[in-house]
Amino acid sequence: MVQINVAIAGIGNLATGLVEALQYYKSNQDLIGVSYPSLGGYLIEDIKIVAAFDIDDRKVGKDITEAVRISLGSREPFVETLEPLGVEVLKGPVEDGISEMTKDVIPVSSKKEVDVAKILKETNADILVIAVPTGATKAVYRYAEAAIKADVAVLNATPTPLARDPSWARKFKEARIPLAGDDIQSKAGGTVIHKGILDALTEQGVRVINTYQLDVSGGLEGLNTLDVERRAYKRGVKEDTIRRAMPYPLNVASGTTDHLEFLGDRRIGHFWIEARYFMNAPLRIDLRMESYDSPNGAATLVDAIRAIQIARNHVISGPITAISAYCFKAAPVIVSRMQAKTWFEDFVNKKTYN
Amino acid sequence: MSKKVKIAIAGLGNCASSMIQGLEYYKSADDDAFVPGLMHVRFGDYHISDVEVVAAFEVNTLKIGKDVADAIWEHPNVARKFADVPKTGVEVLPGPIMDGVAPHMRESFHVYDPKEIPTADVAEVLKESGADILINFTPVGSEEASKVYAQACLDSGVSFANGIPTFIVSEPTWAKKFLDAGIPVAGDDIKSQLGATILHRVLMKLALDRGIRVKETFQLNVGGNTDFENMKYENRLHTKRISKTEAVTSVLPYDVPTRIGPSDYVPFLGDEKVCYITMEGYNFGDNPVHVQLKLSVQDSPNSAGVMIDVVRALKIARDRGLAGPIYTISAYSFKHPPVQIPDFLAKELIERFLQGESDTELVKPYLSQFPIKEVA
Repeated sequence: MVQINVAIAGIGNLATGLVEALQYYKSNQDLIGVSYPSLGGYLIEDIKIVAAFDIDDRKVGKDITEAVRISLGSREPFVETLEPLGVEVLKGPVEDGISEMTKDVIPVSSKKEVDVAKILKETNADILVIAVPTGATKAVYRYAEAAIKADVAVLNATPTPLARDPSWARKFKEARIPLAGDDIQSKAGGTVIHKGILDALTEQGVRVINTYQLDVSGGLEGLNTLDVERRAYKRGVKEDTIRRAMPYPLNVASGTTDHLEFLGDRRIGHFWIEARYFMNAPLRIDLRMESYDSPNGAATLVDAIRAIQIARNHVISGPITAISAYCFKAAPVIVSRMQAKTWFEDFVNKKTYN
Repeated sequence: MSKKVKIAIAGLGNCASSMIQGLEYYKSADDDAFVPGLMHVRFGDYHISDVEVVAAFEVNTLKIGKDVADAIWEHPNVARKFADVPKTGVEVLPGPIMDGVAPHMRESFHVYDPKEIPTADVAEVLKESGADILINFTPVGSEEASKVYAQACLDSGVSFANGIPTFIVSEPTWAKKFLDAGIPVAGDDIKSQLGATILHRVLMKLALDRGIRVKETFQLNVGGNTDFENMKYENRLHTKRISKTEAVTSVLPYDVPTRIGPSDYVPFLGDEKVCYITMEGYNFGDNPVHVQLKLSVQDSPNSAGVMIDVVRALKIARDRGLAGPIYTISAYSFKHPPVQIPDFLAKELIERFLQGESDTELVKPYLSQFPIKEVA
């Protein structure tokens, strides 16, 4: 099987997880946390990073394996030494990639912005993963345009609407390029766990009245969400996906609530559920979850990359509903977890396209 | 000596609601009954039922013009109802707006238009109503509005009890003005009975006393009342974050990565406030110790009882002809007082103040923190 050439825009937690995972699974046989050792014949080791873009002066010009160490913060690496990939991080479009909150923390590279489409072509990229900070809408559009120009598939890890925006969906469809998004869903992240508990309760006839899932993290994403507008936006996306998956109205608050720099890649989530059940008796759940962002995002990404490559091979274009529903939070069509999994596997195995 | 403690309130929000309900809820309490949140049912000469609202100021059109007893139930107030409040005969008046309303709060606060409704002359109202004390319950960040109310107190000879973290009583220039005008005052920033700060401080102190090395700690607070909505923007809560963080970090003699503050506004929580405290540290052999705490509490009643004691202490100070900051009650009941005294000691000093001892004399060893008064 040929390799899958991946370009990634935004060298943060997600890129870190991907870079580490590709190396980890070269030499490790344990498959804990790997949902699909083989997906349509593709193994994780078939994924190859061929291009990388960022705007951070500390990352631009470095090999991607070096650049990801900068994002690591205080967490221990999962892979002790990363062998250089020979992929230099290039200066991408800045646009609105810097927010009010991050402007003092991120030194913007003064290097000249590269022609993203040209690089994508030169490196024979199959897929571009857009992982720029939340709220960097214009930057997302710039990358999407470059991907269309270079005939490259897109995975939109940000909450900016692409897959669920009809006009962008049309553009990709017309260009005969597959697209999946929006807002990548961590494999065992807060949203999945939250939805899972709500599903289980609802299935048992419990009526949830109020619920929140509030996270704190140390990554840039956390700092960025201190910006009230960006936070409100991301919030809206998350809360909406939860409400839409529930068969009755309920109060939901969900999202990143504060930035604790010393947490680094760590994330701490507090869940709270207030519900009623038989004879209107009250039920309460209090939960705390600790996880790491980069492996959590990368676990989903390795599935999404292989699945969209299958779409590409079969010239299935536009937003791929099945991949989006399974791997992303703000998919064009949102369904239950089980349904999404069935769709995803059907798509991969039988190329059924809904 | 007047038998009543006549209070005026600036800002008829949840804190005022809980306090006014409390006056009704405990009006028939026995003098020696235990009431959670009050030092005494009869504080000096004054029973809780002697506290009487005589004036109220608001910026909210849903509250202005109504009887105080009705206004406390208006939007956006969400304080839990625990008492029926009979009509007071006191009409809520339009107060100065200034910076009391942040731009993002205009809608929630239903702010009146001063071009249509003239703002009341606060000093004039205070004089006419015979108020002894004005309580400042305006939103966090009301710097200018608080000063207008403080000035009105100076102009009318009324005492100022400052519930919010705008520094007036603990600010020497203002404190001196009240001292010179012969008016007793207390502040700043009312304490809760059992809040996040005190819990967190106790935990840090415990770690210190038991030889646990703290590696990192954080305190997240979420709530659904307008206090949290108001503090959504980082610039509005700057001083609040500092004062809350210092209150905790000052317990430890070494630096620790710490994050504290109001973290989020979750509307459906209403007046419920939820606080998560986490502490990570090491014990013997650098082995990990992990503490997690969750505090869930109705926010506004948490300080209502404290304020009822404060106004009675100020009334006693007025009866005795005292002027300027009243140190003992300020230290015990406020987060940012002119002089800081350990909690257990402050409580004892107030008891002695009630027995007739001099407020200034009682805090003599601490007076150098705020040297505007001299001890005879």
